Amino acid sequence: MLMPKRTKFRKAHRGRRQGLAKGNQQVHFGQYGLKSLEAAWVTNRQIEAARVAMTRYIKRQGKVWINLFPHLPVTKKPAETRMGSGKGSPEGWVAVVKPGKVMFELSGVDEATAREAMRLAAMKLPVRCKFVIREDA
Amino acid sequence: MSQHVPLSVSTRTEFGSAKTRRLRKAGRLPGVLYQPGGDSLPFLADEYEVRRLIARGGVRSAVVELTIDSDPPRTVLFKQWDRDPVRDDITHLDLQQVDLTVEVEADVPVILTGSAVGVRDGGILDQTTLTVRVRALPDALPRSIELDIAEVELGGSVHVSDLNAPAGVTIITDGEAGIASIMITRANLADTDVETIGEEGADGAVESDSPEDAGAGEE
Repeated sequence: MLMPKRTKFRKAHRGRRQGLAKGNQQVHFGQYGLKSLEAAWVTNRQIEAARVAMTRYIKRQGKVWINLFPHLPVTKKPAETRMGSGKGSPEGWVAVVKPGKVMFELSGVDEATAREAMRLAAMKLPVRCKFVIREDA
Repeated sequence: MSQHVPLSVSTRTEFGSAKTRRLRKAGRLPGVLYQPGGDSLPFLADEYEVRRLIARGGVRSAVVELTIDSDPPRTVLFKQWDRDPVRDDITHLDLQQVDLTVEVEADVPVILTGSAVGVRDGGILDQTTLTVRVRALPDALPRSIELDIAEVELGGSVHVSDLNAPAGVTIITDGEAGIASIMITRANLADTDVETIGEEGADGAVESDSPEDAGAGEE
């Protein structure tokens, strides 16, 4: 599963998720894309699940691009712990997604297949998504 | 090379985010006309009309005959347009006034024609370059440049140097830049030579289905 190889600090602040995606707003690599319509934290497990759903549906025919990377470590306190005593321990990795970000891209398959593959991938993600097609110049 | 595309706009008098938002809601699109050696000129266009022009394709190299209010028409090129990342509406338009006797630079779409041999053999066509930068007189700018890829085999690629520019048009983009390639898929690899190539994996062309070990201590 996706995670950074090495980080400078073990724990990070949660940050803010307001506003729109700053980059990756268009389909750049493939022919089709899956665009987020909401802001959320997408975990590395969700990214992996979406990728597997997509690649299985297209039966290894096309090419998939993942434009997400879970850079942010999330921490959690153990169950039934009293508040205080510092920040919890790192439990996983998430990617910060904002509205308008193209998260996955696909090429080498027809549009109907791409739509269905993206729909299956979107089911694994915690955000509302829409299918987008690369705008030809 | 083409007929001029007519576009009528009006001078913009209202500025500021709130007023602009109201104008956009009313179907008006704010824009700016850049004039060589002169001040830029803000205008308001009909959003539907601009969207229709852009959807036709090749608008970056099409000479537009722009009429502002009742002024005499000016020849302009579409320079850039902004889109809302979520709704995909066009939110702003930049136009560049051009002199029909002076060469200009513009992006022209590359259209691939023909069915590549490599695709028929099961490869994936990956077009990495959609447009090339060309220099020509505004009227000589082609709407698109076609490239026949019928002969391209599996693993092969075509470059900017393979393009045939129309007369009077110079391609500025580096000739060695790739336009498209026929990628080998994992399915191809499995069919052809698993023993020799399988060792190195699929070169990331298609992500592996098998979940990699996730255990590597999340600290």
